[in-house]
Amino acid sequence: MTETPPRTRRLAWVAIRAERAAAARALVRARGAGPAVARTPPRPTLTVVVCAYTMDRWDDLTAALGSLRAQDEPPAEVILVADHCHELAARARAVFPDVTVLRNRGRRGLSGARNTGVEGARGDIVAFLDDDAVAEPDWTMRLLDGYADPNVLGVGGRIRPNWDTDRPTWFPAEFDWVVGCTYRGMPEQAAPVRNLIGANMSFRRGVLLDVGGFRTDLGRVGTRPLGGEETELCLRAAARHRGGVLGYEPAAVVRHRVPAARTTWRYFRARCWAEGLSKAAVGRHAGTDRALASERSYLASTIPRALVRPFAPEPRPPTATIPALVLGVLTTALGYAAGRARGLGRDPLPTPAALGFRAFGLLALPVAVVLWILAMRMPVAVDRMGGLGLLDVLPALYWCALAVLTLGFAVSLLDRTARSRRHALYTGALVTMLHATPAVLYEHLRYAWAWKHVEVVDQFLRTGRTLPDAGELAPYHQWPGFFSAAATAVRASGAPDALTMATWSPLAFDLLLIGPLVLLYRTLTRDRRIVWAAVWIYFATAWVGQDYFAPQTFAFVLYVTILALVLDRDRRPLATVGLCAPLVLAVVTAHQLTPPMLVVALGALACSRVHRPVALPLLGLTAVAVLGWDLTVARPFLFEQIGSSWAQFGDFESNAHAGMVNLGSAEPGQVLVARVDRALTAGVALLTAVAPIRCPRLRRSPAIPLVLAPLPLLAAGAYGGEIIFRVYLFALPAAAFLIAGWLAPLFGDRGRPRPRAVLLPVLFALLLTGFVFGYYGKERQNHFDDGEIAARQWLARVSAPGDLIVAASNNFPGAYADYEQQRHRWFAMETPALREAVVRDPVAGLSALADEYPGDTAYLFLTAGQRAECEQTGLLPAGTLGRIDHALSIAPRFTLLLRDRDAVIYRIDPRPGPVR
Amino acid sequence: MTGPIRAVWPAAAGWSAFGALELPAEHPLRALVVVAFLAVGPGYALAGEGASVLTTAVTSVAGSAASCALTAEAYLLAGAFSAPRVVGTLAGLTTIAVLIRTVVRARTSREELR
Repeated sequence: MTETPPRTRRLAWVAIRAERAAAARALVRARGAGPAVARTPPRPTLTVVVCAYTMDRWDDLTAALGSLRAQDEPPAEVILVADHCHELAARARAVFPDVTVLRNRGRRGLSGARNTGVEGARGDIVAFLDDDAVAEPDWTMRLLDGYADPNVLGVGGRIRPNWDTDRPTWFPAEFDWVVGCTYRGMPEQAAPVRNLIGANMSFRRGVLLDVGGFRTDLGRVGTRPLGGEETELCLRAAARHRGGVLGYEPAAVVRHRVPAARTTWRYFRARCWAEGLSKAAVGRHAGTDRALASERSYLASTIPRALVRPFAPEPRPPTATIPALVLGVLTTALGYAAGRARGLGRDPLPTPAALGFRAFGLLALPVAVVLWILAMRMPVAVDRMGGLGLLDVLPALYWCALAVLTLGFAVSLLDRTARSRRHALYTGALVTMLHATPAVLYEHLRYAWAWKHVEVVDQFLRTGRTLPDAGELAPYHQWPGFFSAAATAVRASGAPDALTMATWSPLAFDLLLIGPLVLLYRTLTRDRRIVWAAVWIYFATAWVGQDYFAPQTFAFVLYVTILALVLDRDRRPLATVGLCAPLVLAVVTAHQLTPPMLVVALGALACSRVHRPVALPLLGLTAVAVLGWDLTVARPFLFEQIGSSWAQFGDFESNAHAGMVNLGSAEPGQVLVARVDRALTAGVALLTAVAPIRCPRLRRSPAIPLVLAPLPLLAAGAYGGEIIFRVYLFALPAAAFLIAGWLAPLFGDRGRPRPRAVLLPVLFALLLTGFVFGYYGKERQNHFDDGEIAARQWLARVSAPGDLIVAASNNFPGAYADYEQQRHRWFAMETPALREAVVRDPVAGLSALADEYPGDTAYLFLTAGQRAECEQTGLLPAGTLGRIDHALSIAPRFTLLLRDRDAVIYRIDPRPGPVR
Repeated sequence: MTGPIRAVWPAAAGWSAFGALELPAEHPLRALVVVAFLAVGPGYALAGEGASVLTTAVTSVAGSAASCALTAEAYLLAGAFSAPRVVGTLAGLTTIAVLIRTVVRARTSREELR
């Protein structure tokens, strides 16, 4: 809205102009003979800046630039600023060779784009034209005429609406500012004004640079109809340049397109509301008196006249404008009041309930962190874990901490004043509480697979090369990317081994994953609350535990990063491909399964026209790299696997079920854990499926192809019984986004949260409950005691290179220590025949096993970890290891070397006499 | 935005890390310098500054992890793995990336000035 200036000031402006013109004429007369041209100040040069943010208005933009070419006095320079739209910048560069195309590298939004234009401009005067406006041929001339007076800081002109459809009869001319145009009540002749209107304004470049450009925290971003940044800049410019004037020149005309969508009541109301909010925000920056000076005169004079005009003699506007006049004034006033109350104004006055709500969101985080620290200082009997793993032993204080944190995060999501930093701290705290807890409570590294990977790093450090015949460890030697990076970090940092790194790696990898996830979600939505809700949901549902010290974890973080970069349309395609190339190569050389997942995800994205320029070259690169690697370095392992893979190919159902715990023979606690796992997985799948059905705007989201892309991999093989979990893992980032997008209406866009918002903490709590069952429920077999580790070290001391180590399973620390120097058999994990033979007659079965290595000493090593795994997964009948121990204790060839609570070691002496 | 000093520090960090390998294994400075370089140095030199601090952080870490993995596995496959070789190569690659970036930026800004 622009001011109708007080009459005295208008007169002053006219007087100043008349006086200056007279002075100039007098000067010319006095100098007489000299050429007049030489004495007039040189005509300032003009740069016109057009800002655009979308390809949707390409035709309008073409018309706007065309109108600039047709000017009677063409501008010295035309700059087009593409506001974070790479496609627009690229096309404009190709199509408009006479236009300087710049990309807004500052904050997204019209203000940032205009500032970019000002920085790039070289003219003395910078004029701004909207991308959907067309200038009259004398526009630039009229604007420049206004700068004859050096006190003029800026000149704006008239903006006429160019209606796509007819002007609605109810639309009052006094409210043409709603569609960005000059409105009735503005001066009809040249006059000084308080502020100019963005669609048609110009300033001296020095003035713009002096005041530091437009504020980027005000102003329109995309289609959000907030404004006020030009008013605020005009106020600042006038305050800085005492005696400076902003002029309005109605003869400088542009025609501003008004699409049909802006002629609805809905838009009218929204724009009035937004104008009220903007006024509140401008009031905060410039002071209420100055910010509202012109609004007071508008309300005191323009509106009352408008209300009586329909009843005046002809010509008169229709009476239908009266409701719009009343509604417009009221909505703007309410918007202003709401803006003040929300903190956009200078002195917000929230209600005690709102204050309490906000305070809870702020305080819950530190309270939860303190509770967690206290819980971690309590004695926790991790060696007494039962069928429910850590759930059996974690103190109540821990669960309180988690509950407070969840509630606090939900409240923060509902509090619209909460910034990203708070959401980030909450998410960081959640990840820390979930993933640092085992590292803090356990004395040793958890999870036998993590131990195995530490031992692989040791092997690489020991040998300094990949081994052609690495036995069970062959995949690691043929996809060594992760281990080589870890080995470098261990050796270069001077650490003795990778144990410390592995202990903290779940926490480190999960914290690291927050960054790529946030980047990924930011490409899918601009709503920071959806972004952080999605991140939270991801961590509350990623129960499959692929975050330990493993190639999968490493490759997954890179995978999410690649997707985030591919989806980021603000980047140049070539630069993105260049940046992603090393990441793709690292993924291809570090892990077997992630490259196919990447191929299907990139393939799904390449189907969309907008992502194709990046996704297609990367898809090609990934495919070529996978093929190249598989045919060279990984060829031995792959050829060995081809038989079993072919048998499993296409067998969706058995592949999907291969990794499921056999509920018939597992421990009761584990049956419950497995049921909760399955319920959580099914719940996530259900929510993901329903989200696009219930929420139509999600149907066009790239998250849909990303969720679906991993599913075909179910057909490709069982992947050691893991495929169903991996498919879940790879679909989860996109699934979490869809769920968060569906929940978004619960956050409440305006005013107080809705009663339904209570569903938010309830859902978060349910998801987390499922998570802790899946993630903590199996900890009995993942936790190792001192005795087990001491026994393995003792075994390492007594056994010699070339000896055979026999164990029920590989679920113990040190299963792969010095692996290439000894031989290993895991009798419960091999063929059912061997397993049954040992269970039926342990002495005969194990003797036969040892006799396969004639002349060598064999050691039988049974531990609490193996017992837990065999019983919990139903690998061996309950109590089998105890029975084996009992049977061997009286057998002649078996010498008991060690027995304590955690481990038993027998030496199996070689069979006496020659072996035939 | 990126001053010459800021552009050069990944290379400086790389050679510091290379030098730090001479320190005793248990020296905390060695772990600090080496981990700092391996975590962000090569990636920052490769990707440069992004549109936001978060983008810069993510691309630096991911780029560094990928460069480290690719360099180290090349040595492993060649049977010639050792920490000084890997860190030295990474420091060299980082230096080259920094040089290319500096030259390209100088040329671009000259063109922009016309």
